[in-house]
Formats: sequence, structure tokens, C-alpha cells
Amino acid sequence: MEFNHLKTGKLLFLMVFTLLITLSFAAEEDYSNYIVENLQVNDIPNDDGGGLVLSWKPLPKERRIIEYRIYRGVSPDTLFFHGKVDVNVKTGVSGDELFYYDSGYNMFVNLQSPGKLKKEEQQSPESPLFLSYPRDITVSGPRLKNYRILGVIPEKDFYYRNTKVEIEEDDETEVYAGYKLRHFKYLLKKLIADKEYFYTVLAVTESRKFMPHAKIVSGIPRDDSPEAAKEFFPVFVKDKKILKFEWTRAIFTTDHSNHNLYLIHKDDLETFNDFVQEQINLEELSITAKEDSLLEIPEAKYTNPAKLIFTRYSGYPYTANNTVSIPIKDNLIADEENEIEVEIDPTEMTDYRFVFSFADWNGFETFSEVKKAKEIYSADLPKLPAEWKVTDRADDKGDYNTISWGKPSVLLTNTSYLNEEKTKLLVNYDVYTNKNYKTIKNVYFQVYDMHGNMIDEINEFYQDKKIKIKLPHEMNEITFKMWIKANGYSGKDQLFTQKLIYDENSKSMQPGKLYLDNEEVNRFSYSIYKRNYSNEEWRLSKSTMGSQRELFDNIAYELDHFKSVSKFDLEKKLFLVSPTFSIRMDDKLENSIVANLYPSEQKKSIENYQKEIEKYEAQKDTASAEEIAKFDRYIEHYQNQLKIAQENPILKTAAEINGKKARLKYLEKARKIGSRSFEYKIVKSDGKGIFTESEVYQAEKIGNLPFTKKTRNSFAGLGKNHFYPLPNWFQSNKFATLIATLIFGYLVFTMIQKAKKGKDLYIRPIAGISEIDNAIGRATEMGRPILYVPGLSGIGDVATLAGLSLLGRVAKKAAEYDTRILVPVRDYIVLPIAQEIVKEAHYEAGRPDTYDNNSVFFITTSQFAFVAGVNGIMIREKTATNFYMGMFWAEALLMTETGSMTGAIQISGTDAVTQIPFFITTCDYTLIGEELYAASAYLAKEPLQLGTLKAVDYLKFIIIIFVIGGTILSTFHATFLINSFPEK
Amino acid sequence: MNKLIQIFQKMQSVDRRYIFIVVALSIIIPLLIPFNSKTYVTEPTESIYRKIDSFANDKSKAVLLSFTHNASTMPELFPMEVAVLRHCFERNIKVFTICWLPDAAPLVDYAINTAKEDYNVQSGIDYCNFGYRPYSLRIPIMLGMGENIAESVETDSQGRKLDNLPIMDNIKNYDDMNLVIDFAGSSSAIQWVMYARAKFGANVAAGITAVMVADNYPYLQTGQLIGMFRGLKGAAEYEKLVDVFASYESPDYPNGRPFSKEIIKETWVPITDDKIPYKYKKARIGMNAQSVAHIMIIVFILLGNIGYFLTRQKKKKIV
Amino acid sequence: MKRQIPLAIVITLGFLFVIHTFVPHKISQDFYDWFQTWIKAISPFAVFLGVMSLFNVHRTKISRRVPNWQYSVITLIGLFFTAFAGFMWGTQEGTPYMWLFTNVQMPMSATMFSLLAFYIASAAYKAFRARSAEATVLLVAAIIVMLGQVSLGAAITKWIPETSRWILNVPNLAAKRAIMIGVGLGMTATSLKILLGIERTYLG
Repeated sequence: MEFNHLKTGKLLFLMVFTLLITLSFAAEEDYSNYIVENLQVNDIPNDDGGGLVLSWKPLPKERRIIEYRIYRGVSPDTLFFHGKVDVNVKTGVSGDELFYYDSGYNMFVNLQSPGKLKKEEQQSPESPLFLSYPRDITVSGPRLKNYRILGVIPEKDFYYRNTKVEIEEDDETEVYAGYKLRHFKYLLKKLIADKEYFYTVLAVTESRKFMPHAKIVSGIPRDDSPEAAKEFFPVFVKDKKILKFEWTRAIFTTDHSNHNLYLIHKDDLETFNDFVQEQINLEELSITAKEDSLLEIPEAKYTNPAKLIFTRYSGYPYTANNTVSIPIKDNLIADEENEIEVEIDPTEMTDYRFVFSFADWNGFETFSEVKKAKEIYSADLPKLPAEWKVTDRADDKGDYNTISWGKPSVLLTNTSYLNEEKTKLLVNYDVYTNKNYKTIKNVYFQVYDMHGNMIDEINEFYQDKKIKIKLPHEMNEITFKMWIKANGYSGKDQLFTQKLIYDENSKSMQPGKLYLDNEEVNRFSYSIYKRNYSNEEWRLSKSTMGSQRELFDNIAYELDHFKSVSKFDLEKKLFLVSPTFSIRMDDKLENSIVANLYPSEQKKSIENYQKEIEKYEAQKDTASAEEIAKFDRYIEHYQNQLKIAQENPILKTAAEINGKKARLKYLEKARKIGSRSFEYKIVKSDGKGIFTESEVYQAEKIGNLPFTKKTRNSFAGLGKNHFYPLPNWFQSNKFATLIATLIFGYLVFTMIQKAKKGKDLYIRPIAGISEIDNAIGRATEMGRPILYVPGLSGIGDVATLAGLSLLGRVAKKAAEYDTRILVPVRDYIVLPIAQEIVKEAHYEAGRPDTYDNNSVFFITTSQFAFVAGVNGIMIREKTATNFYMGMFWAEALLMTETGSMTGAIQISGTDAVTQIPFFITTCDYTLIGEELYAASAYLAKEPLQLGTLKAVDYLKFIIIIFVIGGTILSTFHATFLINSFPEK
Repeated sequence: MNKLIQIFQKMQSVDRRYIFIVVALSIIIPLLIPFNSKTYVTEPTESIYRKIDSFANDKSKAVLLSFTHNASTMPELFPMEVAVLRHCFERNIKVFTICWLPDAAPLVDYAINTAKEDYNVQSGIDYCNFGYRPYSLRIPIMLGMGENIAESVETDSQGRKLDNLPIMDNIKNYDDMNLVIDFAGSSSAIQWVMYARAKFGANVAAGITAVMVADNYPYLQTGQLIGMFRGLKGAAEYEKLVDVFASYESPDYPNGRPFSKEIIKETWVPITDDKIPYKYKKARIGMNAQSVAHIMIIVFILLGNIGYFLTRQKKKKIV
Repeated sequence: MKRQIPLAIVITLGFLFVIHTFVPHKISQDFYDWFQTWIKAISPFAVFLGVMSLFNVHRTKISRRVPNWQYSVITLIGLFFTAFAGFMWGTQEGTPYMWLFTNVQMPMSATMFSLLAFYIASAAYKAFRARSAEATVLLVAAIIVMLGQVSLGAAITKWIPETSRWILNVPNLAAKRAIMIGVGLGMTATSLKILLGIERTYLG
């Protein structure tokens, strides 16, 4: 049948226009059905007063809604786009209600925000809806006060890109650091407690039609008491007279200020319960009172009968420690710092109850369940590994410390039967080790039956994580005894035992619990806690199960400064933040050492402290006793600050530095050391209050630290118990690679020298390459073009480069024979390079006139559309010879099969292992893998090229020797060769 | 005889479009008209089945399905997901779902909705969808779940706090949510092996598209993956396994049929009657088409070879 | 000069990146990241080259009224309409652009992809002939692997799937790894040739 192209063209024209018309004349509808109903705003309970939850009834599936857009503002007449909820058009929303949580910090403004204040699309002129907050400071600046705003400023910008701004406030000049919007990564916002916010929601249909918005509603976020701890475990170690407590952590901790523990005598329980109930009632009343000013809050009747025995700052935003040990000395629990002194009789422990609470910044406190202490003896406590170490992790950019403990462990993980009789068993195991025992030499397994007879014995010299054992008959239970031999460690002192027990449900042997010296290994887990110079409290690094032996603690490089933003400078278009920043805490971890971006302000702060002290001293004369105590605390605080400002070595050194930038550089570095040096401790716990805590790790000697002595002196313990992760200059596991590279380089060099001297280097002939000339000749004879596809990959792929260098040679030949060459390209970066190569080839052949820039052309980046294009060319242009050189994927066969249909001679070359079979079956000649890379050298016949080719052969020979040698050696239990190569 | 030889010789140079037609028909016909065929269950599928089934009616155990793929690999992976969900619903096993690509979120919903229609299960009680979590948070969440799932995932896809959901009773970390199945068209299950398994001892299995199976095979051999669904074939195998007891109504087993080696051996589950809904036999119908197409290709190869030999013999005779 | 400067850039950066692979230090990582942003910034410019090339090729075809020039018209309409739809209404879910993507681009790609099944069949038909001893081995292995993939194989004997697995895991994997080693060396050699300026064809 004759194809009428014109007809086809017309038909397609028609289709496109129909599509256009359908799109533009979408049927008009009544939109009232598309308004979201039942929109409600409620406070999120147990939070810090920064969260509201929106809920609404989703529109039925038939409305084909694609997203719901949420708008928010502080008055109902201006609402800004806040966020959206995507909906799957086909499935719709399954529930009756859709929720949206407006909590935590979310985007206020950044560089991608709209430039100017803009109305939302497709809304009526009087609509109160706007796009998100604009960059325009005249709009966003005055709205800073509506939220808690947090500016995220990249480190470098924070220190060096600020403008000093002075503002007169109550006859005092306040100094701020001003930043342009572009210096912020973003400004984030969070709701303010007790402030009213207005919301609305609109639906967007499948065709992106914005529907009218829902009725505007409002809500007020309230600060309320935190959640109670879900579980709480008090434990009393009788012989040591130590109380131990462990509790489960809360999920939302933004608002937490303290973790508290109380002691209650059993006689006071009733009063305590009344007190708790009253507190709950009072809290409810106080929130209601905020809405109803007439409501009076009654005085509290009860005082808390429980006695505080422990309190600790909860250390937000880090994961706080959830264990504590409290010793009882002379029938007393005492803590001077927190002014705690509680009497307790350890012989009458059953008389006491304990309760744990999370307290928040607003003074709310939520108590856990009241519990009696579980009595145990110190022998029941888990034992910490005798040795543990903190070291810098090797081969990283300086963002990890390694914490390693104990000796290697082995654990059976899974089994499967290998035969119907259930006498052959495949057992999987895992070995956990650490850097101190890096090379595991052997893992020994002894298998015993229920009567204690040994059935099988295995020595795993190469650990492939599976062993096969033979049982004399089907068994319900077998016991494994296992130990590990590692470098410098015989393993005899650590005998692991584990049972395999037949499980009826899964019809297989299941691993039982792992024991090491009668201790159930995985009953306990290790938690690593860390603390730097900038925080008082320990924070959790990671937890891991009891069989593990090593953890890497991530100490990320600080990229940003987080600063609260509340002011702005309209004239200079700046957002203002406080110019102070904390360097670290003082040695007692009590007061923060605060520096200022501006040296003059740093000096001024000393005067300010002195003034404050004088002011309070003066006020003391006329004040009441209660006030005097308060003033004394203030005075003490300022005196501390004053002392730090005057005497702290870091600040003193900084003050002596003249250059503004140099001073900040020094401070920046000091801050970095303070926040990135950590001390560590391990807690081994069963999660239920039975735990042992290690001392803080102390290194035996201080390693090399890249800091001056002066700097080191300002950080006591740096290198001793505080560990700063160091960046490494060489990746040690790439040592083998480096050696191989050097050998290769040497081989290339000598081979090139040889070739240059005219030595004849034998190279195995490759059929595909020698046929290239004939194939081009064939096209010339037939007077048809050549097709050359340089792969579908980008320029970063070496195969593409190989394909391109071959293109140069083929194009030159083709130009010499005056045969047209067509080069379709998929990657647009490859395009100009391919064009240049073909052009150059024509020049070299002395035929610049025959070069047509349109013969090297881009089709599309879409994989299969590209194939369609290439196939079309083959069929229409009737190409005589097709080359495919480079990287190919699933499309390979589609092209070559079409080529073979059109009767073209086809030569292909690729390193894509999965596509090679397709090429071999459909092409006349195929360059397999490395032959593609060699092809260009073959054709060039230059000594430089041939030398490299020969060097590859020699290197390959070396590799083969290693492969064979390694195989033989490891067959004879010698695994040193295998182990000397890195795994990855 | 000569005529036969002639036919074979002609077939040597048959227009490939005839082959295309035959292949098309051998794919389309089995898809349109399902027929009964035997499905043999292989070890990697069986181990997943055994593991899940050992959780039956156990309220302190759960399975996590991790969706790391988008719609492009759905034909192969979706039947697996539905079959596993159906298994869990049928056997009263708690199941969690999580996905790591934004466009996978509707796929999770789709899979759950497909399977739950026939069972009396409720979100938050029998199953729980954690919803979409950004891929960049994958490792932190994997590690976090080793300690406390409710802490690291925080909320489910409907924004409910996990701690308040009844499904979370007795489920704290990988000790309880002991099996993770990662569905992907890549080697992403390896991350679970590296983090959830190596650090916390979770059992990890994978549902993988056929082309990626080879890449994951080493981990199966070493046992780091306890099982693997290998492409559509794996899905078909699992569908059948679930069918054996799901479609098994007997007064002897009022609570469904317990697992046994016999189930695995039972290769013959008819799919032509309407007892099993189409959605539960999708993979097997697909496998029918695949089988027929494979057999057709083999037949073609054989025919081609016969023709080739006949021609060669004739040539020899002429010589 | 036209060649020296690009060559100098290639050699310097090439060696810097070689060093980068051995140096995990932050400075080396930061350099790499910084460079990545440059790549991101440069590549969009190349899109214009691609589009210009496509436009030129087809414009020439139309103006010369070469045979089948009507297809070029369709190509250009497709190009401009898709771009227009993207600029005009955005590329979010629910826009005409996405509509085109899901209803035109995706099914057409899928169609091309499914052609593979047909082509594999015809390629297998042609290729697997017992021409020689090696070809016979290939033929037998192919049949076993194919049978192993479907239930018919297991129905004949349980050894077929087993053998199929063995073929894939042992001889197939061995050959694959050998090719991979060769490819790795070839890549290294080519990269080295580029680094040392031995191979310069890619410079045009």
C-alpha cells in the first residue's frame, strides 16, 4: 500500500487541533460543588503552642481533585499560600477527613519566593488569597512580627557578609547584623502561641482549575502540658544502694525543658493523685480563661507531696539521655547544684514510689505512671566490655569518630533445609567486629545434639556468611558453640552459644538466643552518648544491639547559622539578627562564652555588664528580701559574664587580633572546635532500667591534632577525652588501586617508548575493526549514506568517548570516499563535539566542502523516541552501513534488528554487557567490551596508541595471575591475598 | 517428504512479520483467555511465604513493605504487593507500608485498597501506612526504626501519631517488625541489608523486577536476603501460595489451612473459575502469556534448526 | 592555541579528579561539589544547541521539500507545542504538558519498548542455529534457560530450572566478569590516553 504522507500529516494536524480545542473549551460548570466544606482549625495537644491542625471534608472522587491548597494569614482579608496536599485523582481520598498539620518551622521567604506581592491565580478581584510571601521586604518585613522567624544563614555569609545596623531603642542604641535576603538560605516561620491565625482551603481540579475557596476560619495555638512518658522503670540495686531509672523518650520534644524524678512515700500517694488531677484541671481552666476573660482561676489547693530527687535539662534539639543512676548515701539523696536533699531509707524501699515527669518551658509538667522500684543485685547488671576506644575514623573527610568496643561476635541468623529428609542444613551467620580486630581469620563452629554429642565441626576460614551442616537424622534442637580467631586474638576466651530450635509454624530451624558467658547478648543494647564543649547535656549518638562491636558517630560540618529574626531595615533592604554568637561553654559548662561579630560591640559588652551589676547593686538598698535574692542571682550572672568577657583566653586572643576578618576567622575556628569535639560514654541497657554506664572515655595519649598549643590550651581535654574528627588526605583502602594505577602508568610509559623505538608490538587482529574500511567502501559503492550512532549515553561515559574517537576515523574515511555520514545524537552535550569531530575529519580529508552541519543532528533525549527516529532514518535513507559504538541499553536490539531488516552491514561495539548478545546476533561484526576501546588505537597505528594498548594487555595478565593465585591460595586456607584487597 | 522439506526450506527465509504475528497472538490470547497452568514455587519465594506465615495471628509481630519504585515497574511489582498484603490480611498479620518516592504514595494506597476490599481490616489496627518519606531520610529512618518505630516515623500517612494507634501495641522495633520486604526495580534492598539487618538483625527480603534479579542474587546466596520475588514469576508463585489456603474452604480448617510442605507442592490451582477475583491472579495470567511466548520462541528455534539441517543435507547430497 | 588550551584544561582537571578519588579530605570533597554545580550550570546551555540542531535539520528538510518532509512539520509542531504548553501552563500534574506526557509520550515509549519482545523472537529465530559445535552449545543453553523461566521446564524435570540457574550463575557470570574486567581496563586506558593527551579526537 502506498502511504500518503500528506494525508497522514493532515490527520495529525487535526488531532493536535482537536486537543487544543478540547483544552481551551473545557465545559463550564457550576463551581459551588467544588467548595471545601467543614473546614476546622484545632490546637495540637501536648505541644509548645506552635501548632494547629486543619481538617476538612475531602470532595468526592468524581470531582477529580488533584490538590488542596492551604492559605493562612493573621487577618481574614489577606491570606498567603501556605502549603498543599496532593491527592491521587484516580483513587481519591479514602477517609472522611483530610488533615493538614501546621506545626514546626516552615518556609517564610527565600530566594525562590515570588518577587512581588501577587494575587493567587484564577481568583475574583476581591479575593483575599495571595501567593506565598514575596521577597519584597516592604511586604514581608512588617509581617515578621506575626510569627517566630528563624533565619538560616550559611556560615561564610554569617561571618563575612553582614552590615552593621544601629537602631535607637528607648534611648539606647541596639546593634544588629543586617543581611540581604540572598544571604539567607531561607527564613522559616512558626506560629506564635495565643495568637489568632486565619485559614482557608481551595481545591484544584485535574485540569488545574482553581476553585473558589472555603469559608475562612480561625484558630489559636495554645501551649499545653507535654505528653507523659509512655514507660518508666525504677530499679533499686540493693547491695550498692543505687537507684537506677530509665524511661521512654517522648516524640515531640521541642518544648521540653527538664526531665524530673520524684520520690513519693506510699502514704502520700492519694494526695499526689489529687494534686495531679488538680493540675490537669487548672491547666484546662487557664486555657479557657484565655478565651473568656471573666473566668477566674481558683487557687491551687494541693501542693506536690512528691520530693524532687533529680532534675536535668532535656537538651533540645538533641536526643537526651534517658537513664540516670542516683546513689543513696547516709540515707540521703543529695545534689548540691540543684539544691536537692531528700531523705530515704534504703531498707524500706517498698514504702517508696517513684514518678517521672517531662516539664516544659511554660511550667507545665506531666507525670508518668507511679511505680515501685524493682529490687535487684549488682550481679544482675550487664557488664561493660573491658576495652573500648574512641578514635578518628580513617578515610573520611573529617566527619566521623569511631567508637569500638569488645571483641568480635558471631550470631546465627537464619537457616534453610537443603534436602527433603531435613538432614542437610544451610545456616547463615553474621560476624560483627571493629577496627581493632579488622581481619577475621577463622570462625569456628561446633555443633552438638541435645545430649551434648558433637555432630559437626566447621572452620570458616573464608567468611561467606553461610555454613552447611549435616545432621545424622532430623533433629528438633541443636546447639552451636562458636568462637572467632582474629588478628592478634585467639578467641578462646569468648565462647558464644546459640541454639537452633525447630519451629512448627515456619517448618524450619529458627535461631534461638545468643549467649556469651551466660549473658544473653541481644537482651542488652549499647547506647553511645556524646557531649561537646557547647552543651551541658549528654546527647544520644546512636544505639545498637548487643552483638554489635562498633559505631560511627557522625559529626557533620556545620553549614549554617540559625538566628532569630524579628527586625528589618526597610531602607537598606536588610533583615536584622543579633550579632552575637556562642563560642562554647566555660569549663564548668555553666556559662556560654559569647562573641560578637563587631569588635567594638565586644568591648561595649564589658561596659554593659558592669552597668548592669551597678544597677542591681543600687536597687538592692530599697528591695525586699525576696527581690534581693533575685538581684543577687542577676548580679552573679553578670559577674560571670564579665569575668568571661575579660579573662577568657579565646576572647582575649581574638581581641588582640587586628584585622576584622582575621579575628572572625579565629573565632569561627574556635567555635568549630568547641562544637565538633566530643567526649563519649557508653550505656549498656536492657531498656527496662537494668543498665551499666561507663566512665567518660579517656585516651591513653593525645594524638596529633592540627591545632596550635595556644588553641589547645583553651580547650581542656582536647585529644584526651574530647575527640575532634580529622579529615584524611589519603583513602587507605584505595592503596591497591593506587599501586595498580602506578604500575599501569609505568607499563604505558615503557610500552610507548618501545613502540617509538620502532619495536613491532604484536596485537591480536580483531575482525570487526578490520572490516570497518570494507563497510565504508560498500556504502560508497552503493551510493548510500553511512549511519553512525555514538551511543545513547552522555559525554561522562568513557564508552561515548571511545565511540566519538572512532567516529573521527570513520568520518575521515567516509569524507575521503565522498560518502555521506549521518550521526544522530541523543545527548545534547555530545552534539557539538560530534559535529566538531566530523567537521575536522572532512578538513583532514581535504573535503571541507562536503561537510554538512545538518548531518550530525540531535533527535531527542527520550530513549525510545530516539530509537524511533533512528529506525526511521534507516528505512527512509536506506543506509548501507550502520555503526553503533558506545553505550546502549534496552533499545539496542530495536535498532540493530531494523538495520538487519533493511539489509545494511552493521558493525557494533559496546561495553554494556547485557546488550552484547543482542549485537552479536543481529550485527555482522561486534566489538565486545574492551575491543571498543582498542578500536581507535588499532586504526590510528600510532606508537602512542599502540603502546597503551599493549600496556593494557600486560596489566590484564597481572590481574589474571592474581585471580588464579588468589583462588589457589584461598583453597588452601590462605586468605591473606584476598584480605589484602579492599572489598569495595 | 519433499514437500515437507520444501516447507521447512521456505521457513528458513520466512518474513519476520509472520513471527511477529505469532508472538503477538501468543501474548494476547493468554491474556484475554486465562487458562490453567501449573505454578512451581521456588525456594526464594517460599522462604518469604514461610516467614510471613510464621507471624500468623501473632499480635507481637509485623511485616513492613517498603515501596521503592514508581508506576513504571508496576506490572511486575504490583501483583507481589497485593499478594503479600492479601496473605497478611488473610492470616491476621500486622502489616506496615512505607514509600520513598513521592509518586509511589498512590501506589501504596492502590495496593492496600485492592487487597483490603475482601477482608475486614482497618487502618491503624490491622495495617498502617506510614506514607511517603523522602529518599534522603531513608537511612536515618531505617536506623531509627531499629530503636523505636514510633519515634522515627512519628506519624502515619493520615497524620495520626503512631503511638496512639492500636497497631503499635507490642511493636517497637525490628525485633517485632521482623520482616522488611523492599519492592524495587533496583538494588535498593541492599540498604536494608546494610543497615536494618547488619545493625539490628531485621530479616530483609526483596521484590525485584526480573531484569534486576541478577544484581541481587549474591545477597540471596549469602542469606542476607531471606527471600526474593523474582519478577512476575515470583509474583505468580506467591499468588498461588496465598490462593491455596485462601480459596481452601474446609470444615477441618475453620481458621484457614496452616502452612505445610503440601501447600508448596500443590502446583495446581485452577484460575479459570470465577472464585478467585482477577486482581489475585494477574501475575499468573501474565506468566501464562510469558510461558506461551517462551514456548513459541523455542518452537521457532527448533523449526529453524530442522529446516537448517534439511537444507544442509540437501546441499550435501547435491555436492 | 585552539587545541592547546582545551587540552590543558582537560589534563589539569583530569588529574585533579584522579587525585580526588584518592583524597577523602574535605577540601577535595568541596572542590568536587563545587564542580558539580558548574556542570549543572553549563549543561542547560547545551539544550539550546540540541533544539537549534533539531530545528535546523527539519527546517532545511521542509524548505527543500525533500521526500517525506511532512514528517518534519509534525516534528516541529510537536516540539513547539510541547514547549509552549510547558511554558504557558507549567509542568505540574494536571496541566496540558503532563497530559501530553502521560497520554502521548508514555504510551508511545511503551510501544517502542514492547517491540523488543517481537524483535527478540525474530532475532532468536535467526541466531540460534546449530551451525557448529559452539553454536549448538549456545542453542542448548538458550533453550534450557528459557524453559527454566516458565513452569513447563519444571514440569518436564526439576533439573531444568536447576541447570538454568547454574548456567546463569556459573558460565554466564564468569564470562560476564571477564568482559567486565576487560571493560574496566579499557576504560582506564582510554581515560589515561585522554589525560595524557594521546587521544584527542574528541576535541574535534
